[in-house]
Amino acid sequence: MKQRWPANWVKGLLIALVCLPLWPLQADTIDDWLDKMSKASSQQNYQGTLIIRQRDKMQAIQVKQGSGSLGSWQTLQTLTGEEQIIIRHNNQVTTIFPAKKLITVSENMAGSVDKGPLHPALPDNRNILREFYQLRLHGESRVANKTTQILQMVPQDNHRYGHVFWLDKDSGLLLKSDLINEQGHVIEQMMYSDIELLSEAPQKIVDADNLKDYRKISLIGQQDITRQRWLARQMPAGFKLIRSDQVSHHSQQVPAYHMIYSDGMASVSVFVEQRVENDGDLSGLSNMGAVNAYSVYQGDVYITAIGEVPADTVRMIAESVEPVDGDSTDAGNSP
Amino acid sequence: MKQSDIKRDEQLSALLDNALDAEQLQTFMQDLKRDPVAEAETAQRYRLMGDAMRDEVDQSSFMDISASVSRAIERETVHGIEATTVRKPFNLNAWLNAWFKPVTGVAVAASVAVVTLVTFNGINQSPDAATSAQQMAALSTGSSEAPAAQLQRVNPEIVRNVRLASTVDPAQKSLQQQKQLNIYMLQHSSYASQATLQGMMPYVRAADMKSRETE
Repeated sequence: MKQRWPANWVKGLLIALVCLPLWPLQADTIDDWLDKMSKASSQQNYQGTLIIRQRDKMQAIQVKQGSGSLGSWQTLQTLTGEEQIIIRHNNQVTTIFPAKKLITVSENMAGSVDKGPLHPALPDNRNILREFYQLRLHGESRVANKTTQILQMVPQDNHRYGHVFWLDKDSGLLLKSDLINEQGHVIEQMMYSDIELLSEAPQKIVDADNLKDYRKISLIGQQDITRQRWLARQMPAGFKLIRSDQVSHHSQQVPAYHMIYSDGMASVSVFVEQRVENDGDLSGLSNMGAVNAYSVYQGDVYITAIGEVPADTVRMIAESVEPVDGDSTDAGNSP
Repeated sequence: MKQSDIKRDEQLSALLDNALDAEQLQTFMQDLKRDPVAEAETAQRYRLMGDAMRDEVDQSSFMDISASVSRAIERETVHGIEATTVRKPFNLNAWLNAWFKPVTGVAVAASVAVVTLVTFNGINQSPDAATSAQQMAALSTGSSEAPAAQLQRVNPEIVRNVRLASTVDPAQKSLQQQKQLNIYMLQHSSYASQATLQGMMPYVRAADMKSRETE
C-alpha cells in the first residue's frame, strides 16, 4: 500500500489542476469588482423594482433588462407619478406617455451606433479615475435579499460627489447606490427593493393594442460639431470635454452651443446661447435633486452649467466660460 | 416627393421598427447628416419644440416635455410642415411586435409600488446608509486636507467680466427659468448616461423630474 501513495498523490494533483479553472472566480480586488459590475450592467438579464429617493422626493420604477442577438435593451416603467415607459435599445430611446397617448423616439445621431452605448464602458484608464476618487472595498451587507459587496468612491476634492455602491456578490449587479455630497450627506439613493436575476431576457411590457392610436414623433439627435467655439477655463481636475453640439431648443434662430465634460463618473453640461429679450433675469443657482445648475449672463450671451456635481463646481465652471480666440459674436453658429 | 426622401423615410421607418442593422443605421445617419433638408427639418423641429415649451403658461403642465412635443406637432401642421420626418405611415404593429407583448400589468405594478414605498421608509433609516455617509464624510474631510482637495478659486478677471448672478431659491424661480432648466436637464441627461458610469440614473432623474411636475 505504501508503494501506491505517490501515484495517488500525483493523481490527486492532476485532478486538482484540471479542476482549478472550474473553481468559481473570486472577485476580491477593486478592479475585479469594477469589471464584474460593468459586465453585469450590460449582460445580465433581470427584472426588479427600483426605488429612488432625492431628498423628500421618491419614485418607484420597474426595471427590466435583457440581452440578446439584437443587443441590450432595458425598460423603465414609472410606478409613481405620471406613468412613463422608457425603452432603451442600444442607442435608441423610446418613451411612451400613456396619459397623453404619445410615443417619442430619440436617437443619438452621432454617426456611429457605437458612440452611444446603452451601458457606458469603464474609463479606458482606471488610474485616471483613481486620481480623483479613492476607491475602497468596505465590507458586506444585504440588499434585496442578496449579499452585497460595498464599494466606496471617495472624491479627492470638493468638486465632485462621492459614491457608495452595493454590488451583488454573485453577479456583480449594482443593487444600491448612494450619492454623497461634499458635506457627507446622502443626497440621492437608489435601491432595488426586489430583483430577479434571469437566465433569459424577461418578458417585454405594454399591451400593443393600447398603443395603436398613439401619436408618434421622432426626435433626431443633434449635429455634432468639430470646431470648438466656447471653452470653460476653469474645470475641476480630470474633467475632459467629451462632446460639443449645436442644439436648437430655444425660440431663437441661432442654435445654442452645448458642451459636455466628464471625469468618467460625473458629467457637466455647459450651454451657451444668445440672450433673449424680455426673458427677465434667469441667472443664479438652481437645484434639482442631485443636479445643480448655475446660470450667468456674459454680455448678450446666456451661459448655464448643469450637472450632478456640487453647486460651487457648476458656478465655477459657468463663470469661467469664454469664447475661443475671442469669438463671441454668437453662441453657436456653425463654423 | 423626391426619391431620396422616400428612401430616407423608408429607412427611418425601418429604424423605428428596429429593423436596421448596425451598418445600415450608420449609413442612414451619415446620409441624413449630409441632407440639408433633413438638417433644416431637424432644426425646425427642435426650435418648434423649444418654442412650444417656452410659450407654455399652463402651470400644471410646465416642464412636461411630452405635452410640449404634442404642441410642437400641432404647430408643425399649422406651419405646413409634416409632424415628423416619417412621411410613410408609422408601422406601429411591426414595431410593437418587435418590442412588446401583452401584459396584465398596471394593477400589479401599482401594488408593487405600494410595497416598495413602504420598504423604502426602512431604507432611509438603514444603518448602512448612515454609516456609509458618515464614513464618506470622514474620508472626505480627511481628503480635503490634501493639497489636491483645495477648492479652485474663480479667476478674478473672469468674475469682473461677468455680471454676477444672485443665488435664488429654486422655489422662487420664475416659470420661464424652470422651463429653460428643464430643457437643459433633459438635454444633459440624454448624454450623461453615455458619458459616465452612472448608466440609467440620468434617465431616472429626468423621468422623476417630469413625473413630479404632473402630480
